[in-house]
Amino acid sequence: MKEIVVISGKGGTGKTSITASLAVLGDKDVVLADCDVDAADMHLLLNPDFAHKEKFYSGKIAEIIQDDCIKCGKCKDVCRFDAVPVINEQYVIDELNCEGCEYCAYVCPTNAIVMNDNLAGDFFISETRLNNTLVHAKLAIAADNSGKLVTKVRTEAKKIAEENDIPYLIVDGSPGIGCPVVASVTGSNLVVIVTEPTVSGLHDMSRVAELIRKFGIKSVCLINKADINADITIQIKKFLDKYEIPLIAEIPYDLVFADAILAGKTVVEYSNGEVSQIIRDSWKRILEIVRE
Amino acid sequence: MKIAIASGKGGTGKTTLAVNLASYIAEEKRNLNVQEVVLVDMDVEEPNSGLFIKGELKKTEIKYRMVPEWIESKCTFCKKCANVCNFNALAYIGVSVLIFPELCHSCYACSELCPEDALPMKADRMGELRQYIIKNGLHFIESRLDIGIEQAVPLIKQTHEFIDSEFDETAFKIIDSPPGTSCPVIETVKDAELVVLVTEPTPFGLNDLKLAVDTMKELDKKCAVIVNRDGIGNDDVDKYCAENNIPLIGKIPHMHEAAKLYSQGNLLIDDIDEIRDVIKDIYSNIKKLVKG
Amino acid sequence: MKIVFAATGKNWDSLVDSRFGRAEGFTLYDEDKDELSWHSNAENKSAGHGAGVQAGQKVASLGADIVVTGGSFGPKAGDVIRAAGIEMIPDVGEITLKEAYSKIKK
Ligand code: SF4
Ligand code: SF4
Ligand code: SF4
Ligand code: SF4
Repeated sequence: MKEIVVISGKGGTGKTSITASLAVLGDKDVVLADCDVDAADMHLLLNPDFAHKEKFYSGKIAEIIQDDCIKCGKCKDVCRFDAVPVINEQYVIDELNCEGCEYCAYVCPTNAIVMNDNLAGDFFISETRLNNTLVHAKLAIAADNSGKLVTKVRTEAKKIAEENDIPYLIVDGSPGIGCPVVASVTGSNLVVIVTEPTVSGLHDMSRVAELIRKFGIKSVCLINKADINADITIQIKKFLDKYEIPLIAEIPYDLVFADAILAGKTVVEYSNGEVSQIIRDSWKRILEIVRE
Repeated sequence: MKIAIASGKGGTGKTTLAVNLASYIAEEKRNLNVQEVVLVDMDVEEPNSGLFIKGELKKTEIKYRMVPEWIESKCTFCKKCANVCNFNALAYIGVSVLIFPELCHSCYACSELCPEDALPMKADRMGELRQYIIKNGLHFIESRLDIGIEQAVPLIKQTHEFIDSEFDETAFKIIDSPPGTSCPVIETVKDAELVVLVTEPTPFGLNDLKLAVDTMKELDKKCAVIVNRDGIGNDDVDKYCAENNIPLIGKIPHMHEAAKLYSQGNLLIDDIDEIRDVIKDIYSNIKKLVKG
Repeated sequence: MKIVFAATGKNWDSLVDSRFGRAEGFTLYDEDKDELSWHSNAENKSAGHGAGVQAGQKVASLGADIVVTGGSFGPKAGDVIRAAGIEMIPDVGEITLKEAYSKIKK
């Protein structure tokens, strides 16, 4: 089984549309994982059935059992996160602020503080309208995206691919360059970087490429909206040359991306135009490279 | 006045709006009767507003957070600290105590629970704050986390403290928030009087907007919506805003010219009058909302 | 001599785990007593960050002289184990504990 992760740095480059198109092209040979758990969009194109749903817990959160509390205020004194306000003369935990450090519980003289598992999100395994499996998740509001949920999504998707002898796992990677993206690329076989020729696109992709290089993972690049700024496209190419990252496609600026999303379809299903052709060729190239 | 600009996902034009709005107010300061304008890039993991505005560096401050340091000579190997740390930042291994500063959440538990004072907290560098002054009089502040530091919240907190001490109530403060709905976003918008959410008129945009609105509701924040790239999609965002009583305070039209200027890292308001007018209206709408 | 294996199970026929920080558990072989014992790593398997630190602390607390894993230890676990003065044997592959044991005895 080969794992292909699509990432882009900050977003707005068409990453999810391209990833979903690759999934359509891969058809039965593909399991999909949406690791953009902060703002997952893949489900909008693929109509998953949310067949399997489970809660995902990460870290701890404090709770004060009021009956046991003698209102000594020690918990409030030690908490460095302003998470113990006094409301209606009761010491309570502000869940949005509580970091889960447990310091309050150590100092409470009556053991009135219990530490509960912190709900960090929902995790799903679905059948999509393409009849392949999508593993996805939704981070809870104000949860800490440390990469744990991303790891869970990837691990489960991998398991499904291996158990069913499905040759490819396509991962819609996390945005940014922090922990979640590290969690979405480590140990994969190929990273597909989707970028665009804008000052921020170039900036993001160079950060991302450096990160991937550190992990020693093979990568290829795809420039979307390539004709929007010829100068920066040249700079991107120079960068790719220097890092020996193959450029597998240049997609022109095209509103077909937005139109396809509006129609609830992937680009390759929605149109047979130039962009779809380029994505088809890219998929072939990706398969060649990942099989090498 | 403090307003935050946020979005459920990166790449919606949040930074474009923040930079153009701030520059517009700075240029029109006299007419608008504004004392000072401050733009703050709180996307500390990956600040990139600076790609769009260039100015003169006025001040650099190194920012620190507190982490414990093990003093071997004081330690009696009492083992009390062995299982205190909920973030695995401290390991007690019999012959010594190891601290992993990058995992530490600065909760002080180990430090204050140590009976021998063998784990005093000391300052540890986490990043840098830079203050620039731009030609048009705009103050620009950018904080950047050092590579390898995972806790964004403390730096965001200190950046808020910096702007609150440097500028008074009369200044118009625009905070460019990180994307998403996780902890750093919560910390960023905490004391904003209004959160402006930027989205695109597509199903992806609407989905991400809903996530952002839910988060702001949870925080009891007043919000408003701006549609970017208006014209590429449908009017579902308008409907959603109307149904949920969220003011839609501006639509930035989709223009090839704008995409190009953005790609070059240029301001839109300097070259496109139509967009300058939209920004002008957005400003007056914000003023109305914050007063009312 | 006490040897700790990152392992997927508690018997000689169990496989060495290729992970360390998030291994299923640790199987300790006490040569002097000729005894195998199992120490679950369940609490760490799902840790957010720093699973390696915790696992390293755990192995140190077991009094290990040598620690074996199928893959690599990771930088943080490596620091902990090194500081505890335990010898590290990485990359033995996914073989049984028995095979791993005879391998390191050579
Ligand atoms: S667990 Fe930590 S952050 Fe939460 S309330 Fe207790 S002391 Fe404060
Ligand atoms: S430390 Fe315990 S008893 Fe004291 S106020 Fe807090 S919860 Fe109540
Ligand atoms: S609690 Fe303090 S004295 Fe005790 S082992 Fe830890 S560092 Fe040493
Ligand atoms: S201060 Fe808190 S988070 Fe940091 S090492 Fe000590 S117990 Fe762990």
